Amino acid sequence: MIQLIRKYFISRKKSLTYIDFKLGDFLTDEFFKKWVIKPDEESSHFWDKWITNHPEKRKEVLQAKQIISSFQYQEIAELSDQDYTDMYEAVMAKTFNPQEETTSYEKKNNWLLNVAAILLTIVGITYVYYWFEYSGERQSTEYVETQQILTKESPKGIKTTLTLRDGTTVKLNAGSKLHYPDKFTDSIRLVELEGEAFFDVEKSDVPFIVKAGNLEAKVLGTSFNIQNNQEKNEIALVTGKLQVSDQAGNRIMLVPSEMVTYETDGQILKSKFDIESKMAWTKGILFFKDADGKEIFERLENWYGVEFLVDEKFRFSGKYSGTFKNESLHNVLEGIATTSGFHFEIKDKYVIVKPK
Amino acid sequence: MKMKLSQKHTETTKHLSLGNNRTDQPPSAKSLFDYKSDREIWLEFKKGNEAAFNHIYRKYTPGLYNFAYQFTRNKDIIKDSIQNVYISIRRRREKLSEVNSIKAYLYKAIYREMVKKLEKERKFISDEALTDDLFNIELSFEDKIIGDEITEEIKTKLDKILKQLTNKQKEALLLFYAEGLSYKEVAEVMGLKNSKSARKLIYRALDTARKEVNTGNYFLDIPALISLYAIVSQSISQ
Repeated sequence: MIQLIRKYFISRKKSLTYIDFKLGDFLTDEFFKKWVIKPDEESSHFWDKWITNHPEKRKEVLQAKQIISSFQYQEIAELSDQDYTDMYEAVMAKTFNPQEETTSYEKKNNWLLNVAAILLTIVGITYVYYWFEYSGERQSTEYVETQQILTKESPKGIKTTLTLRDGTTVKLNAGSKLHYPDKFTDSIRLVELEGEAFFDVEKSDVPFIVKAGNLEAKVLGTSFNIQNNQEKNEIALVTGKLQVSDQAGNRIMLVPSEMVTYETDGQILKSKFDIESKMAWTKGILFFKDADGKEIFERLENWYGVEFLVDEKFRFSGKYSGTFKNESLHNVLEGIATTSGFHFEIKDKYVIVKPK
Repeated sequence: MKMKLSQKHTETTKHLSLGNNRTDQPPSAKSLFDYKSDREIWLEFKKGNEAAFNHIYRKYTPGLYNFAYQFTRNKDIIKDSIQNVYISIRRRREKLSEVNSIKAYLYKAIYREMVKKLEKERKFISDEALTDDLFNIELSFEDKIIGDEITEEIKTKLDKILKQLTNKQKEALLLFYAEGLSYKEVAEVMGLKNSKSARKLIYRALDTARKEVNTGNYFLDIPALISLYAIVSQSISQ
């Protein structure tokens, strides 16, 4: 009971203080920030209620919420499975072996320093020898450093935009990955894409090449959309000029609103496309044209980061066309379900689909 | 997805035919430790429970790797540092003090390790290679809300403003917002005096950004910039 009363007073005091809050105060308030990043029962209860009671503060709260959740590392390093396992094994092996207290990397440095210090007083030449050997080693590690390949991943349900070192911006669709070097060389700007992305390439004399499945796009400054996943391997040009080649060495030049598709039989096909619908995803618009059930559910899985559990007996009837702008999953599904005849249920990250 | 979908078919129908509504809880790889507090997990680890260590390793290593990467691009240094942190806590496990936040503890350890390593490195490599581009921040606004209006031009401008911040300020902002640590934990990781110092550091970072927005020739007709402007200009009233 005492606790309850205390809790009441604390939240009452909080409630009052927050009335005078400006955007920046929300930003730097720990309790508020925690609710945005890791909401729990207590904070959700408090803030949902507070916002309802103080509609005049709604704008500030939403803005602060948005800013807080937008802070991210510019470059996120992904730990490879190999390194993950290697480190684990090294930790296990070295924990009870005092001989290996310092790692090989450190040991080399210390050893060289000691040796150099002693030898220096005796023979200069020997010192120089070690020094050379050392600098040789350094160079080789630095070389490896410049070759570092980074990966940016948009998990399902989230789209991200990244700016590469040369100023090129890439909008990564949900469930896509981009591999790129941390620094481009003077002769080539090469990146690799898994999934779908929109590129706005910074103009430069250095060619920009995107590898995507069986296709490769080479540009000097232009914007285009690439899709490369299980369903499609295609490159669509929006502005500028683009040269697309496949592994067999076939080359095709594209002008705006032309696209190239890599067919499953190895053919490459050039066709026209509708810029509006192709670019819809970059503007938060879900766009369906004559889509069947499989396409719809796969798109929604990526878009909202959910999984569909489809009843075996369910058959999607006909084709579906429609657009949704910034709609909730529930609203989108309701729209499709009424015309295509199914029942659905959203439970956490799962959508259960049953026949009507 | 094709494969998965067909697998799901049978799973779903099985549950449905049994009248067992379990489709919302597919079997997952959650371990017992996911339901325990940091304090409890740490105690288990101290007692010598290897499953507790494995849980810690699995949960925090990818994050530690990314955090260490913000100091250097040298993969060997990063890997060595992470190994050292784990080896050191495993050797002293019984003597370790109690811990309320494992994340803050490990991040503090790797932070120290990286600072130490980099100081050593500085003696050999030119400063440039090491101080360049530490802890860069990206404001990745959700498309849903204002994505339409965020042009690349604005993004570049925001990037520029954020680049003006000192490394310490950027570190604090990322630990607080991107990593979700509390002021106290930020102070612990960065070796600051107390949570007040961490708070001050973050205030100052936002203040610097505000001044930058005010002096720069930025067009303020775009929501993203306006909201950044609004936050920073209204906020720092203290």
